[in-house]
Amino acid sequence: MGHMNDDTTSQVESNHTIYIAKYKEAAERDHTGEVALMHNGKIIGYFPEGGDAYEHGYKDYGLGNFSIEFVGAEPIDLGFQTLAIL
Amino acid sequence: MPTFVIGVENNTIHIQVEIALAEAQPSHRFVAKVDTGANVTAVTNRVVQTLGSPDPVSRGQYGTAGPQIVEANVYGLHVAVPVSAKSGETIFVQGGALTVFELPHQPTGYDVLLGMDFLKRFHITMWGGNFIMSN
Repeated sequence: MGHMNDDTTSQVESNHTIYIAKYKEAAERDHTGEVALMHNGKIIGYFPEGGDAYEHGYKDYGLGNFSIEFVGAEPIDLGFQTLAIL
Repeated sequence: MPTFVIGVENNTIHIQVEIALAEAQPSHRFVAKVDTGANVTAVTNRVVQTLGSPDPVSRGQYGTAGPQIVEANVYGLHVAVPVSAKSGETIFVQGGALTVFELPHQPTGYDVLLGMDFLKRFHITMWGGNFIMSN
């Protein structure tokens, strides 16, 4: 994990806070169903799948230095597994 | 076309998979449950710990049977599935990166839930009591 950042939780959390405040409304208007790659509080790009955003983020910034947002995503449906939660 | 065939037991499909961080070797093997009713792939905390507790890349939310929402870490991982090589042995073929959600509970008998985001990458047939997966 060559690029690992000791402060990664804050990267995920701070980017999410900024996403909600600054980008969420426009992103959900224009990019629902896509995945946003964020770095240092800015949206770098939108990707069709989470894996695509992850690979770009890892290659360009290193693990721990980026986060992703699932634009307009509903809570995950695990089918019958849902009954095992809570 | 590399193909993997396994019998469906008790109307349940369990296969072995290899999981790794995108940049890490070697992979670690876990039992996975194939679940076409799940829309994402998820792993237990045991998998996360085995991989060295990597940095999450996002936070996701699980719906529950009630009104509650449960949050979970999301990781970027590679999941490899078994295929039969010409030699007859089983080899694992790694797909592209996948965002994987951490399960909020420890299920019995498996550590990986293969959901539709992963399964849609393959040609899958269920016939004659077998689960047949090709890429």
